Amino acid sequence: MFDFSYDYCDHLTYLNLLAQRMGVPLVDNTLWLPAGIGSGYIKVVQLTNGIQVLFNECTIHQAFNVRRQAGDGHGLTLRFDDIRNLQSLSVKIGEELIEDATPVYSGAYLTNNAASLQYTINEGIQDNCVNLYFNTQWFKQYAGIGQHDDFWEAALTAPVAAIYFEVLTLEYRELMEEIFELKPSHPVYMAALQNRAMLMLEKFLRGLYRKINNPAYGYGVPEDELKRMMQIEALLVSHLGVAPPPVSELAKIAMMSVTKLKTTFKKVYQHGLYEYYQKNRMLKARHLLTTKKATVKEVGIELGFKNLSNFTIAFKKEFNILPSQV
Amino acid sequence: MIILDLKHTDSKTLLQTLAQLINVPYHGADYIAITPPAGTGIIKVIDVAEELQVLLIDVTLNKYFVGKRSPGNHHFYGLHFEQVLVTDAAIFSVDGETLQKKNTLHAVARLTSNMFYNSEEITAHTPVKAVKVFFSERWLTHYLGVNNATEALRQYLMLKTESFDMEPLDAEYLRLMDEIWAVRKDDPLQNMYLRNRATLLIERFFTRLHQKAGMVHRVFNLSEDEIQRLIKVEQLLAGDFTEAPPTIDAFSKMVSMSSTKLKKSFKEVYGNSIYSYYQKLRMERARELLLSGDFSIRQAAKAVGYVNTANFISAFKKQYSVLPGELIEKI
Repeated sequence: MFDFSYDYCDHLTYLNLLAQRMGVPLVDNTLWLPAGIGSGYIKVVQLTNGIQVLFNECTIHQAFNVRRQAGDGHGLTLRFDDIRNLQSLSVKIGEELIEDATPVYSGAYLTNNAASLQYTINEGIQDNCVNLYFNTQWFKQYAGIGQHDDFWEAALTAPVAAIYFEVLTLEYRELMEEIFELKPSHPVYMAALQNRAMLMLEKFLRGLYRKINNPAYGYGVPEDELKRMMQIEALLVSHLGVAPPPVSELAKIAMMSVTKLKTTFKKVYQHGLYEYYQKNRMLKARHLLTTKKATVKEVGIELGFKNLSNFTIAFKKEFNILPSQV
Repeated sequence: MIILDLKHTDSKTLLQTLAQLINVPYHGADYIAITPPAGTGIIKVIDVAEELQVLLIDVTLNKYFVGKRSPGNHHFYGLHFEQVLVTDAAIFSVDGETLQKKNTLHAVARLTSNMFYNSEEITAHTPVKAVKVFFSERWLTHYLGVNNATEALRQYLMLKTESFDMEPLDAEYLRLMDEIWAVRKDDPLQNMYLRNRATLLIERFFTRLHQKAGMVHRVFNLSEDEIQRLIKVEQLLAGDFTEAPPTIDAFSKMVSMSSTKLKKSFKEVYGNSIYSYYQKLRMERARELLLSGDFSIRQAAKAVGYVNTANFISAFKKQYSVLPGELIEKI
């Protein structure tokens, strides 16, 4: 078991403390996990607009037990996590205890540092995450919220630490992926990183704003069902090159009837199962065409289209332009 | 004639000046509406951050328009993403060098700096749709996380008007521009929304600028001067479709390059052989004309230099896998 406790601080200080505790040096604000503890990296970048972004792609080889003291309530962290191979997770925020044992967790939530935090997580988990760190003052200035101040104030200083939750959809995943793929040699690395981080923040704030204006706004799905939907979503998006399992099989995995699965999924992800799979495939196609300079044929094949004209038609339907025009 | 002497200023003052010149009322909002007899359309100016301003333009003026910007010590840049359907003529000039466009769809991303004297002249009744982002050197260097404006940027600016056709607007630019146009007044995140998209446009432009700068010097091994000569060839090709383009031999004399070298380096820089590049441009132009709804197939064929409409139809079909008639039906 890897034990780590620290006082609330910014991400860069946190990373330094963590590196010390693991007994490894930081290189370019990047911590490469030592073999006994895990594999992969954790990196922090101070963006030029004043916030810090922490991101990691790692697998841990030991169970982790982390404790953090409460802070002044003005520190905010927006977390985007995509965790696989979960067996047991327990999170204690202040006095509130959350336990989870479903294998996939993929969600976004905003926390403030008003309460203490403690979490324990099993060995073997694979975590891809992007965290944005800022404070309430930065937030008010930067977001330029002006006339809606009261709403935001209420939201950001809420006594509960986890104030709003959203599932990760492919739009988020795509931005996360782009952050992981950015090379420091990119000609405008800082700008590219900042833009993606800010797009994630913007998307999240939109949901938060809706929630604040309408407290009843949410998925309208019990928490355990929401968790099962995350498992289903992960199955759909993990292999975009092969046809997804049939609905009957997905229903078994989700432990609900086919009809119930269809309606619940639609409530959470706004699209039908197949439609969601297809949309994600097209987003992936656009991503490959724009960032990887892959040919239309290569992309079509990678995404499992046997017939390229079907790919072209599907792409055109989604984005209103031909893949060759991207 | 309308002459606008642009100085970098806050959005309200800018709108006020514009409204006065064009002779339309200004009500203190972030936009002015242009109504007859001045013309039609809308101009919107929004300060999204300190020293970062977004201008949205969708207008057709009924008078000859001249916009100019004099050099200043406080360094500012303008990134112009513009679609100008030049029916008569448009003239862009930087530091005394001019670029004239006639009968073409000028759809490019270009960067200007107030290091030089800049001007643009657009004849009356020309539809202009543009997203322009203005920012200071201080803002840019801070945003990019560098101490000085980069070498690629300086090289680009030194090309003056020669650089103006280097970056055509493609689907991705147009998508971002559309998103900016789709901004909603009641959006509580309006500012963040606009800023994020403006910076995405800047990011994309600079990324590609660097890629090209690197490409041009390392891979192609062409001198700055040779590239300029290629740009000249490209401009001649893109200028006027009603007449047949000069022959390769004529080009090669014009730019003092052997025809083998010209063909080879043109293909490396523009990705197509000279003739297929010309053909592509012509068909793009024809497509734009057809999509505008104001041209019949015969007129479009004529505008891009086809005497025989049937030849035009088959060339169009070859390029877009759709007949011009089918395209018209869709709109």
